[in-house]
Formats: sequence, structure tokens, C-alpha cells
Amino acid sequence: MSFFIQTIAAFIAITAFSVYLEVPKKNLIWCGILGAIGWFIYLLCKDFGIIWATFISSLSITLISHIFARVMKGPLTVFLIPGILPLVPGAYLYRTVYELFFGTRDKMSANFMLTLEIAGVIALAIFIMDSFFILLKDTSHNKRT
Amino acid sequence: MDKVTDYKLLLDTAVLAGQIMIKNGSEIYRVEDTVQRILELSNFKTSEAFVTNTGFIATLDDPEHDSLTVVKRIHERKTDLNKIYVVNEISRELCCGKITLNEAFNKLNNINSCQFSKKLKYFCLIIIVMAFVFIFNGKFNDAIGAGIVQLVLTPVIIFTNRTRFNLFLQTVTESFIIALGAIAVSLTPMLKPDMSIIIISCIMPLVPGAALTSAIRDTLLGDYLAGGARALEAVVNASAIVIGTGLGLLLGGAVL
Repeated sequence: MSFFIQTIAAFIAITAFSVYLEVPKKNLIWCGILGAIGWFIYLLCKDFGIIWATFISSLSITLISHIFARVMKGPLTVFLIPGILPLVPGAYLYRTVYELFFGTRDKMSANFMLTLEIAGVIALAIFIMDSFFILLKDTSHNKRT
Repeated sequence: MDKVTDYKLLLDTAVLAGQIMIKNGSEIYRVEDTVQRILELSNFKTSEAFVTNTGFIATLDDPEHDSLTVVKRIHERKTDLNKIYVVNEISRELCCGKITLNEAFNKLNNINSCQFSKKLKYFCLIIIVMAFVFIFNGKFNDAIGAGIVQLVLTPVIIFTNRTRFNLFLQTVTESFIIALGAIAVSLTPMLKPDMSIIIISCIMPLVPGAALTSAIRDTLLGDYLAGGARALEAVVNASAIVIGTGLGLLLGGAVL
């Protein structure tokens, strides 16, 4: 049940965030769907650990953004920036601060490392998917010429 | 399409397109690509664009003509994806020859209005934080608490936008108010929401997700200068959240 609620919440949050970022009107719903799919995949993979879940989820979000960008002929940024938002480690950033002032040094550094790891894993996922699509573009271009 | 003859207008169009894209938070490689493509319509021997996050240089040169160079400095930056989308469309149509240079220039000049009103955006911020409470497994009373904090935050956002604080100070102020507000709300007897979830949900719209993604994509495509600058922006922004929330928590903890 919480699965369902969280996915719906992700859809609403990302659609609203897309309005805030001025995503073109006809793409609003698609950004929301992208956010919901991303969070759903994150929840599915959560048993493998947060890092893996974030990695797989950002991979899928980047893949779907690439597909959306090609089908709807818009810049990739329009889909990727709202879609990736739920994965950005805001929660761990906050926990780092909290532990810094009210907790122990160990917990603070653990949370800080986790924040960096999640940011790094998102970067890695976008890197991999982008490189894959650049490769795809190059080979199809070579075939044509 | 017809051969372009008004080179000054061509350069102006390219500069305007680039300027709008940088101002609204596009990736730098995309800006460079767009400006370059528009400049190449001139068929000059040399057409170069060099773009960074804070300004750019575009130049046209040919043995038969005097060289033309424009340097443009860009001061303010925000995220407005629709404008990036529209400029992308216009440049695509211009390069295909679907519209003339004059039409493109006029269209670029006329995209200053926003799609959504400011009121709607502030309302959306409240919806975002309330939805994020549920994403982070919060309960209904937490969502109401987060909504109240964001409602209190709205005048602060309007104020910081009006005073033209830089992004750092703006984020520090906002996250400071978020932390104080969350502590205050968590003490209301009837609601009793969880302070941590409220703060996490409320800082989600502030976290530098856009800067992070753009930094990665620019770096990957070899634009290290722009990628590094955006990465630094993300780090500075995250530190601003840390400082603001930390100050708020400390002060709130001391007062109560």
C-alpha cells in the first residue's frame, strides 16, 4: 500500500515541480510519469541497498528521458532535471547537518559519505546512459554516410 | 533556403539565442552547439562560439568581409525549461530553413513571458513539499506541518527575490526559516508532526539537482570549464543548505 501511495506522491510532486521549473505545458504529464516510474523502480530495488537502488533508478530515468526527448523532439534537460529530483540526496544532506550539531561525529561522517556516494552514483548512471546514446548516434551516423 | 546576407542580424540572433539559453540554465554544450549552428548559416570561413556559464564570445570572419565579434556577459541565472525548449525549436526551424532570419529574431525577442503565473508557482511549491512528505513515508499530520512551513516560507521567498540576494544568501535564508519553522510546527500540541521529515521535504525544492545533472552532462561532453563551474555551484548550494539548516536548528534548539 505504501508503494502505491509513494508512487502517486512522486507523480504529484514531480508534476508540481515541473510547473515550478516551467516545463512546456504539453510535457508536464510526461515529466510526472517519469518521476513516478523512477521512484517506483527505486522502491523495487531498495532491498539491494540505497546505492544500488539509486543507481538502477537513475539509469532508467536517464534512459526514459532520452526516449522521451527523441519521441517528443525536445531537449533532454526538460525531462531529466525534474525526473532525477526525488533521487537527489536531500535527506542525507539534512541528516549530516543534524548529526553535526546534535549527534556523533561517526554518524555525521557516515551520512556525509552516503550523500557523496548517492550524488556520485547518479552522476555515474547519467554518464553511462549518455555515453551509450552518444555511441548509438555515432554508429547510426556512420552507416548513413 | 535563401542565402543569408544580413550578417549583423545573424550574429545578433545567435547571440540572443545563446543569451536566453544560458540565462535559463541550459547545458553549455547545447548553447555552444546552437550558437555555432546559427553562425554557420553565414557560410563564412570562420565562425566560432566560445561559451561559459558567465558569458560568451561569438565571432564571424571571412576574407571578403570585416570580422564581427560579440562578447556578452551574463549576470543572472535561473531555471526556465520552457525557454530552452522554445529556443531549441526556433533554432531548429531556422537551420532547416522553415523560417527566415527576421522571423527567428522576432520570435526570440518575444519569448520573455513565463507560461505560469508566480502565484501558481508558489502554490506548486506547497504541493511539492506536501507530496514529498508522502514520498519519504511521512504521515498526514507531517504533510500538514510541511504545508504550513512552506506557506510561511512563501513571503520570505518573495522578499529574497525582490532584494536580489545572491543565490547563496537566498538559500541560506530559506533553509534557516525552514528549520526554525519546522521546529515551531513540530511543537504544536494537536498536530505533533515529525520535525526531520518536514525539513527534508521542505529543502527538496532547494537541493541543487539541476546544477548536478547539467554539471555531469557538460563534463561528459568535454566542456570541463562549464562542468566544473556547475559542479561548484552545486557544492556551494548544498553548503548553503547545510549552513542555513544548521543555524536554524542551533538557534531553535537554544531558544526552546
